Amino acid sequence: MKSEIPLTTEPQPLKKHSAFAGYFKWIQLMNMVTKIVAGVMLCVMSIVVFGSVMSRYFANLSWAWVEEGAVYLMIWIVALGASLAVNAKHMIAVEAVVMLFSRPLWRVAKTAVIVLSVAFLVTLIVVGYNMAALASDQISITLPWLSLFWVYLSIPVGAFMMTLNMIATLIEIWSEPEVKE
Amino acid sequence: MTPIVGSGLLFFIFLSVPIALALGLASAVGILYIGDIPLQVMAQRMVNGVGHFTLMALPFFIFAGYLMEQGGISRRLIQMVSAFVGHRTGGVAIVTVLSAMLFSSISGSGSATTAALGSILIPAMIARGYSKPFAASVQATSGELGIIIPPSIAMVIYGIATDTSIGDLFMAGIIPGLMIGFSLVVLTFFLAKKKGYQGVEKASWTERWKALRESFWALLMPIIILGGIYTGVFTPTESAVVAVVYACIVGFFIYKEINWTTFKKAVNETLVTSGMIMFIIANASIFSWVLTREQVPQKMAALFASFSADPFVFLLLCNIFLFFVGMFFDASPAIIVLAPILTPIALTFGVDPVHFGLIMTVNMAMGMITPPVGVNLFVACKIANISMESMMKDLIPFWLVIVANLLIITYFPQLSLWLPNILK
Repeated sequence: MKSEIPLTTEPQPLKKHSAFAGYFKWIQLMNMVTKIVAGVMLCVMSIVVFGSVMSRYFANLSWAWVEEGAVYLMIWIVALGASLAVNAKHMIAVEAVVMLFSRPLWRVAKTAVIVLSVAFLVTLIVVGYNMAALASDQISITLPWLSLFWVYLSIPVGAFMMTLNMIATLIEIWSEPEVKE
Repeated sequence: MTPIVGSGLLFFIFLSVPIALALGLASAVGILYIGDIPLQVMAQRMVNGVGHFTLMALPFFIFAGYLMEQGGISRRLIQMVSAFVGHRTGGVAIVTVLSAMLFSSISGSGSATTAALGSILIPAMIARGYSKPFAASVQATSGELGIIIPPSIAMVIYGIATDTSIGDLFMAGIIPGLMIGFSLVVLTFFLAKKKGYQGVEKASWTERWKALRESFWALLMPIIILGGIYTGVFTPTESAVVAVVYACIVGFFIYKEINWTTFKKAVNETLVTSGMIMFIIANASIFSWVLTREQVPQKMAALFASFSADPFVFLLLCNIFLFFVGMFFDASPAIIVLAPILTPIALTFGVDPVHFGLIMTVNMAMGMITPPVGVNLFVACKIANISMESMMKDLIPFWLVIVANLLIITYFPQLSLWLPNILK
């Protein structure tokens, strides 16, 4: 029944399950680092774009690299933010049908969802890395020191972190039989 | 190939695969089926689909929205509206609609509008003895104005997907947005009168003046955002970043409600929400590339043309189709996938792309309050702590008013096009 946009996006604490406690600890650490890195990127992007608006308006100066650089930052923010969204169980999905399933069937359906998702994400890791390698001899037009490799790298990195968070969700589904999400 | 990709997509979606990944999976199936294209094209389409400077308006508007929520701007707007009309019959409900109209002119998202205002107003309505389903219905319905009254995330996406001027789309949303808002005020008034819902105590003019002065900085915001775009000072992206900085300044230094903790919270929510929406856009870009390569738009155009050559019938068919889409899909994925397909067809029927953008936006806004999947219903139910089923009876009149508005907007293009045209 839900297309999930909860009111707060505080990531839910990952349940400590004895066998997987170590895995969850690493995931939590990874997500914390992601949050800091992506948060700094968001602030830098805002400041740079705002600065360029002001400098153009007041000093009639504009820099071509601002737009391109900000767009590359945004691509990274999306890749990292999407991984945080998986962790916060914030991906929009149509739950109307699987809600009608019995508890065991629901769990099977959810497992299938995660298996399919992970299959896609792993494909993205591979093709994203291939694409990055192909693009490594292309350089940014306005930022001549930047190879497009670093832009395309956001896809395999984001997909890899999403995969790890998806696996954490799968473990949660199988380790808490009583609570229905 | 098209049936395989299409049925694949529906299967993944109804299995509850997240929309973004369902789009990506279906595209991958399509690319593998075509056979002669390397899968790297997916990575390339994703980066191309997201890497627009114009699209940056999206994370900025989302960021500004969370900063305003944390900074106490939404609360001051509500207090100001309440001081003026809160004492009338059904006062709190009318305040809900009017505050939603004001808040929509600084927020670009329907669910954010519902959440920011609903967390204050739904409990206020319940406390005055309004029924929970009624309170949730008023809030969910008026929250959809978030994407109709500019700025609007849905319109930014439509503008990018179809190469239509976002400034024109924003302008086109003003009159339809006001029309929907005021028709909701009238409906709310009559329903409240019938149910005997009272207003709050009447505020004195001193109190009104104080509330107005306190909300001054909040009311200045839409003027900066929209004024900046129309005078040509800012592009939509730049106006969005100005909104971020403005919300920061007001929140940190004037209202002093944002501190390091609430700022971090706003940053986190922005990362999660924009990551989620823009990852959908990235995957939808692969999907629409596959559809375009298979000439689906041309096939769809031929299909529509075989029904009728009459624009009246075409728009009716579009509305019915978009209604079913809106039942299950959120505005962003629906628009990014369907706009590039439907808008060229609309052009051949002589429909203006700006007007068509409005039709799509209002349809998707209606989808937010149409079960079984309606994001505003979900948010409002969660705040009111009721089930979605229990609010259906109270929702019907609101829903019908939106349908009536949608038909008026569809068949009177002047309502949308007059304002952008005189401002050119």
